[in-house]
Amino acid sequence: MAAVGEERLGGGRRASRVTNLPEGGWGWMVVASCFLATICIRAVTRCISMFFVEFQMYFERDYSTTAWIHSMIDCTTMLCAPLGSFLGNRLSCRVTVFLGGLLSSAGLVLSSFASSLEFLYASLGILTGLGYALSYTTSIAMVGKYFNERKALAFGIALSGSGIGTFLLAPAVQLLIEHYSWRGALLILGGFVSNLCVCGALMRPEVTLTDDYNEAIPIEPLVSSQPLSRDQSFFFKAKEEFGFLWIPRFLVLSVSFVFLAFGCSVPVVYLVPYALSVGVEHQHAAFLMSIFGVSGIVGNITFGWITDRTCLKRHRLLSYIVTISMEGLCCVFLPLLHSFQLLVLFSVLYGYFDGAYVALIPVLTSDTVGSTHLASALGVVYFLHAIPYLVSPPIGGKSYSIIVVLHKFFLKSEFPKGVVLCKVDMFERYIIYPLIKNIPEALP
Amino acid sequence: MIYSADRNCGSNTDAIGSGQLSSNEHQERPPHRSKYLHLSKDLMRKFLYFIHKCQCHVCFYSGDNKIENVELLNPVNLSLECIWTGNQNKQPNITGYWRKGGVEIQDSRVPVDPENQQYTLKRVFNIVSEEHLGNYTCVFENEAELDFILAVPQIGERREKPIVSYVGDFVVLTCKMEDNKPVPRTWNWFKNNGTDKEQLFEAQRYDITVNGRSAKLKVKDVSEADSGVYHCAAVYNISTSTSKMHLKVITIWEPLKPFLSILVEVVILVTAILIYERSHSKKKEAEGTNACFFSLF
Repeated sequence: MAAVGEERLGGGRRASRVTNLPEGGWGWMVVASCFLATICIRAVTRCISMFFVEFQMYFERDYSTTAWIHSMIDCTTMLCAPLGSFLGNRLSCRVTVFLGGLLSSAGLVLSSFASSLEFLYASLGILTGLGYALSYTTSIAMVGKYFNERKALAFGIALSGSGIGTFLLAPAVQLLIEHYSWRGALLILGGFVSNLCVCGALMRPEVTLTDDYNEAIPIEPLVSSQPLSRDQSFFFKAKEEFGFLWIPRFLVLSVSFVFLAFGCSVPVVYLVPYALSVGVEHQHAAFLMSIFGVSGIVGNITFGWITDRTCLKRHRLLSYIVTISMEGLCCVFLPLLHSFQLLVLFSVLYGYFDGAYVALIPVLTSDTVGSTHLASALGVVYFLHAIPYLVSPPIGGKSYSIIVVLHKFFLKSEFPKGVVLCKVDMFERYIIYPLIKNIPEALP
Repeated sequence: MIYSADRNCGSNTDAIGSGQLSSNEHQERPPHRSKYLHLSKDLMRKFLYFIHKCQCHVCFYSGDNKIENVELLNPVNLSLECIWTGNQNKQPNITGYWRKGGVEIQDSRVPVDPENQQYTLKRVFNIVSEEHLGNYTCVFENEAELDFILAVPQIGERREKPIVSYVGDFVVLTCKMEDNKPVPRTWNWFKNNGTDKEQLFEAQRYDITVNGRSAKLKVKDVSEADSGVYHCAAVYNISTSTSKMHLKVITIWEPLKPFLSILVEVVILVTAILIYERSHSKKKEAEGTNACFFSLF
């Protein structure tokens, strides 16, 4: 499967290249290794919250101080994502994932010897988070380097690891805590996470002619005849490496991701409290979260397969917008749902489209910037995700106080998130899509 | 469902629903029958409902439960009353008596005459200490009976699985009385020593913190001898309610074994993958293909 593409290098010079992506073979091993990496990273992060009861009893602190550990890991993973992609470009992806695996398992092993909660902040929050940041973007970018035709399916399978991993790891972690207490459980989890090194070993650098071109002609563009000084060559290389940032389509996409991240984390946080406030029992409310997880997995894989069909491939952006709009619509209707059956329906639909959106992020990024710059672009995209994740639950609370003045009888906290997502949805539909349509495409 | 209907007495009133009885005033007051729960028709045929007077608090029980739980904190004169609506054969004479712990109480047999188609059996019990607590049954001979279980409030959350700790570490054991139950006077901690319980006091290795409804025992510098069963006891005026938990002390080797085996597996897999790749690419080079080959790192 070869495709000829034109690429604008910095300085307006053109070069043509032949990309020859494997589309299978070792590529599926890379997908499997990314799947395992996603389990080790995302699922383990979610399972850390199962330790909080133990930490509260042992360190005698309250829930919010212990819950900060989870936010720190998530935040560090996303904020340091550009660092991960930077290292992935400098050293190879394989070394970066390997290093990430070493760092994160070291963090978990160290935290099993913790004597205070602050030590846990440092070992889990910073060290493990940094290790995760190094591995996460690079492993996803590797999948993009192996697939072009079927990349949505490949990304979908690779990213379904977080849902499936949570499903499998949650009872396993519970069992570990019962048998070995939190120290032993953290130690064994550290061992499990060192499987990231295996993922790193599986990520064979892909054999494409593009790399050959890049290696053979290091810095100077084809046409220039003047020898460039060291500074100028560094500048050109940086411009070439980060040139993707200025592609207008990428800019608009990033803005869309930021707004999306603002809206998306809120419903997940408020679903269970809302269900409890409507009168659903505790076990049923927990069941809602499981349904959400499972339909997320289904959404990851099936939506990837769907958008790979030739008829939909050209309209990938449209399918992205449809996904987001459906998520927004679901949330707008949430305040009207008052029974368990309707909430189950909401969980299924919302989970499906949430899974679809998670799988589409790297696909769209890859569509916009191409597979060579995918690692750096993904780093930027996930970095932009970090701040809204931190900020949006409190903002959800603030908009609640504004909305309460307007609608005195809607005293539920999920209403603002419906409004936020509705805003996001409207923004996407009526502003971003026309914008994107009008921008000349950077790549065919 | 238990709730207090009359609150004019003003003595220590704690949470509703606790069957709290005050022993401050021993005067009898007429029962305040303001709240009867409405029972459905199919239960009317044979149901038993109970009115139990708690000094100045009147607590109503209702329903067709065969067993009623009564929580007591202090010594009290407890009046238990059973009312039965009878059945199709309207017998004129029924004998009723009381049982404690399955054994009939002496001199408790009385003939029961129906008034307004109801048979009433009532008795005052003097509950002073722990031996007076237990299972009391009112029996309408050959017809119906109902159990009252008199006990101190039980500690709700029980940890079934053992608490695990490591040699040299410290461990915190907690016991908590639920919010809807009354506050114990104090808490005690015990450890099983052979067949009997040994009380633990604040010492070099033990830190006991009592905070109203909850109590914590912190055992420092744990060793394998500290494994065993621990009891926390909530002390009330009339008796004590206990809950037990199991402490298991293990060495660091226990989790280290699976950890090391996982590490060994990772090292084996990584070397196998790298060796496979090296041999695979050497084969390709040997075959003389034009594929580009980059060094592994």
